[in-house]
Amino acid sequence: MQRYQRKVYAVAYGYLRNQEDALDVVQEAFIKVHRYLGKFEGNSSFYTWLYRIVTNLCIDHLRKSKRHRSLEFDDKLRHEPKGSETIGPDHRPLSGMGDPSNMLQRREILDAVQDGLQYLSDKHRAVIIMRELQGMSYAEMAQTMGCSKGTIMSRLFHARRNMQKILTEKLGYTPNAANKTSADESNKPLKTAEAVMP
Amino acid sequence: MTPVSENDSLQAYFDDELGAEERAALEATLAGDPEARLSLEELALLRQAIVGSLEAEAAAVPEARFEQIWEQVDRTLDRDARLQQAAEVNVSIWSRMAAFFRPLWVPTLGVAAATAAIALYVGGGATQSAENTPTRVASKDEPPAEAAQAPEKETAPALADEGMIAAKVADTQPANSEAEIQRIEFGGKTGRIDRIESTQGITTVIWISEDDETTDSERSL
Repeated sequence: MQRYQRKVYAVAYGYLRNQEDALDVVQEAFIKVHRYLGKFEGNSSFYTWLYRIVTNLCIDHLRKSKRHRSLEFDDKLRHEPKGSETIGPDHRPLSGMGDPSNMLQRREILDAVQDGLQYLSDKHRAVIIMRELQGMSYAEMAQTMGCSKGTIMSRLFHARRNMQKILTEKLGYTPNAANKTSADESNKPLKTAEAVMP
Repeated sequence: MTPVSENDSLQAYFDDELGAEERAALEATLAGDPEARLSLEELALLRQAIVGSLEAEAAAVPEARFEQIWEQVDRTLDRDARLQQAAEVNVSIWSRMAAFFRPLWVPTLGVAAATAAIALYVGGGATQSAENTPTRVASKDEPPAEAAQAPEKETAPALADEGMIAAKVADTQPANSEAEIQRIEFGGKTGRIDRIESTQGITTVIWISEDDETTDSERSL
């Protein structure tokens, strides 16, 4: 089971954004796995079952910690990136970063992604982690979060869009001419950042 | 085509949430829509960056930190096991007592069964004898002529045979008495009630048939 420990940690850290909290969840998840291994029905893969346990623990943790902090588990951005009101929905910060295979070697990109996840609301971060890291379907995400598939699609769209905006700001990417044209066109109905917030 | 929007299907396509027909239709439009293709590429890069960033974060955690976690997991599971064992020990006090006495169950039950059988035999013997007497009196195997000639002679010795047993139960049973109902109709025959006896909860009516084929009969109620 040790081979899953870093993957589980990555998921937990993605949700919680705190190393010690994430490690606590990892520990609790493996204890639960051992306790309830006999009840694992085998309808899904062990990895999926383990992810579900971790996800539920993280959501519980976020709900509990919500009582001890002013930040809420809602759909609003925790901080509005500076100048976000002028960033159009068509920015592609990562497309301009050169060879994708080298992208993950660049510390500033990884740090920018971490910052972006930090800025997202709990719910937006949750859908990003569920979809991008865990590969959950819309239906599974809707069941886990107790909402409709439409809500999941909406949250996912806004979460991705917010991440793109934050990365654009962090990486200082300036769209090229071709992109700028389409970005300007797409900006027209989106006067403010709130227009893309749920 | 708008690159990605909340309402269109590009995001669902990227997330592999479209059906086969929708997927084929969208792929047909993608060929002539470079803007949409760029948006898909950006979504893929974003996914790659998010996964890579979190995996890098996980890789930075020292192995020793995970070893601490596993030690704590082991301690917790050991404690669970001890608590489970303690719970089983508490429960097993009665189980152990039952196991201790289990070898005695069979002989004890055997003795009890034998005692009960003897008691039933002794107690039931009186009943059986009491019941046998009128039956024997009422036996249809006997020739009707003989029965018609001496019905009272048959019953008298029979009752006399049961004298001792009748005497035993006389204290607790109502005394025999003359029947208030004088006649009886039973089994398609009619007759005169001779007497009614009551022994150990069984009332026996002794009657004398007056039909053509006269015979004695009785009915235990």
